[in-house]
Amino acid sequence: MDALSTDKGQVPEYFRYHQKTALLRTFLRHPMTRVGLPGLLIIAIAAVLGPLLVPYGADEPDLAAIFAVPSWSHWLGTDQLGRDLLARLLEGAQVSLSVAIIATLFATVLGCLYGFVAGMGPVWLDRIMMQFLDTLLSIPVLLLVIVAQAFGESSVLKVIAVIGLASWMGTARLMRTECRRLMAADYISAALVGGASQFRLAITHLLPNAAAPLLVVVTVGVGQAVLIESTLSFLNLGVPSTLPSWGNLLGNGMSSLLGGAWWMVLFPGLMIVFTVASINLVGDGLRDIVDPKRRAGL
Amino acid sequence: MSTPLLNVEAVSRVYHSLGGMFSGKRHNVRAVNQVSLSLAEGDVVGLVGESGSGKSTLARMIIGLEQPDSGQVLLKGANIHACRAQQLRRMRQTMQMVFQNPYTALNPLQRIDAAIVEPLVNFKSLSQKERTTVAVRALEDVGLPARLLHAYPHQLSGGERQRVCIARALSVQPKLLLCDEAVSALDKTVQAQVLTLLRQLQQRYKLAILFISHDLAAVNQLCDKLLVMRQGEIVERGNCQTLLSNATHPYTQKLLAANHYLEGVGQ
Repeated sequence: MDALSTDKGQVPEYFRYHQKTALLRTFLRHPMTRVGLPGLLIIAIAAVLGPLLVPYGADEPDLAAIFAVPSWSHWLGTDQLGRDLLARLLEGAQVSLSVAIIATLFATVLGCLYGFVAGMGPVWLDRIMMQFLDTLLSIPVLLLVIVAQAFGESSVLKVIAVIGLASWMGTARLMRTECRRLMAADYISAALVGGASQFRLAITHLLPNAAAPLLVVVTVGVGQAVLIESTLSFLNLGVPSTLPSWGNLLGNGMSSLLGGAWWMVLFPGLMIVFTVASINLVGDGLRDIVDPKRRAGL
Repeated sequence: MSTPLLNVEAVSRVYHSLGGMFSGKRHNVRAVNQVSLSLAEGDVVGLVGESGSGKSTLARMIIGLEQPDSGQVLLKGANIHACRAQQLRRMRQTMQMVFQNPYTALNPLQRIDAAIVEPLVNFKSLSQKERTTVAVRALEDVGLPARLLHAYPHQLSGGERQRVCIARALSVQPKLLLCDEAVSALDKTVQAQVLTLLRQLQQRYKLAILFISHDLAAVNQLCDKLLVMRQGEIVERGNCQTLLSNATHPYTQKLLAANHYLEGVGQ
């Protein structure tokens, strides 16, 4: 055991960290990441700290300031009940983002499981599962979601489940392809010869080696989920209208637009665009460092 | 007579390939044709033949990565292709394999210590401390310093990686080791070192080794017995020394001549 105490220092430092830092640097210097990452950071900080800094509550009506135009006291104006739009947007960031993130995680787990079974199983099973996936993919996501939402009460959990169920297919396809590609590798044969179970094969060999492209799909997936959530809420099919999600704010603003309350539509809309654009830019940056062919072109 | 450690009985494997889209011809390639061989405990047998002679297919069938079309592979008398997956998994402890290319045979994201103990952990539950102890001992066995425990494969040279592969294969203390072109990807000096190491380990653990190679010099250095394979069939078999000095089959003579020619060029 003596030999162990010194081992860490003896592998040269540049060897241990060289590759990871190089990748990180490429990622951080990527023009798209340079725009997207600060954007994401601003949104994240605003979502967490924002509600504490704004002097109004999201559900605090002020009948003296109904439909107030943006001013120093209400930066982004107020709605038909005099509630501060900035406070509602920041509160809505928490709702919209957590719905999107949890739904995407749900979709990722589901997609990975499906991909593992199809990618590691016998060829006939793979064919059936992929055919089924193609069939699902031919149905427009929005239609699927609207039909699902038409049944039963609207609740946050239900929205999460519906978005998750509508968006796992891309992950499944990716995971299946990655599995098929990696299963041909010698180290997978070696693991099989070593007596690895299917579970171990999936967790210690396939998943880490497929993690990079998976990360890209997950990132972009969060952006998509934000969009789906907003669309659903806008159509009154999303999270309960009492919660100030971005889609709800936008939908609510639409009905006041004719009355001249442009700020109630403009700011929620900008918020959604800014968020999805930031996420997609970061996703593009990730994609470029994950794919060596694209990296070479930078 | 007791059952041999490994008994391969008339194993065959045919690869079907469609001919051109319009010719409609089907080519059936007999990769391995009615091959029988057996290894007792402690036997070191070389299997030589040119590229495409079916050596690797035979190895993959023996280790259970591919199914033979006919024939059977008996490990300690049990047919490995007829038993259930769970049983086959347990049999893996008796039989391990070292692959040809040390650059692809290690998971690039798995640390060396985890790679070495992985086969063992599949069969036994070990604490983190026990794992480290086992891994250190395994590294010592193959002549690598313990500081490599936390390294990743890309930080190692080819020879070091192949040693790690050997350590991984031996971690479950198998009785039989299949080496599929295990030194072919290494340069000459490293080859010699790895061969010496294999010989030492073979003697220490009374291993049986099936050493597959196209390199007669390497086989001569390591093996006691020799099988010569050509187009899926074993054309000559016998004692390694006598066969190499006194080949009877024209194909073996040709192989030898090719080898001598190459050696002549080297000088």
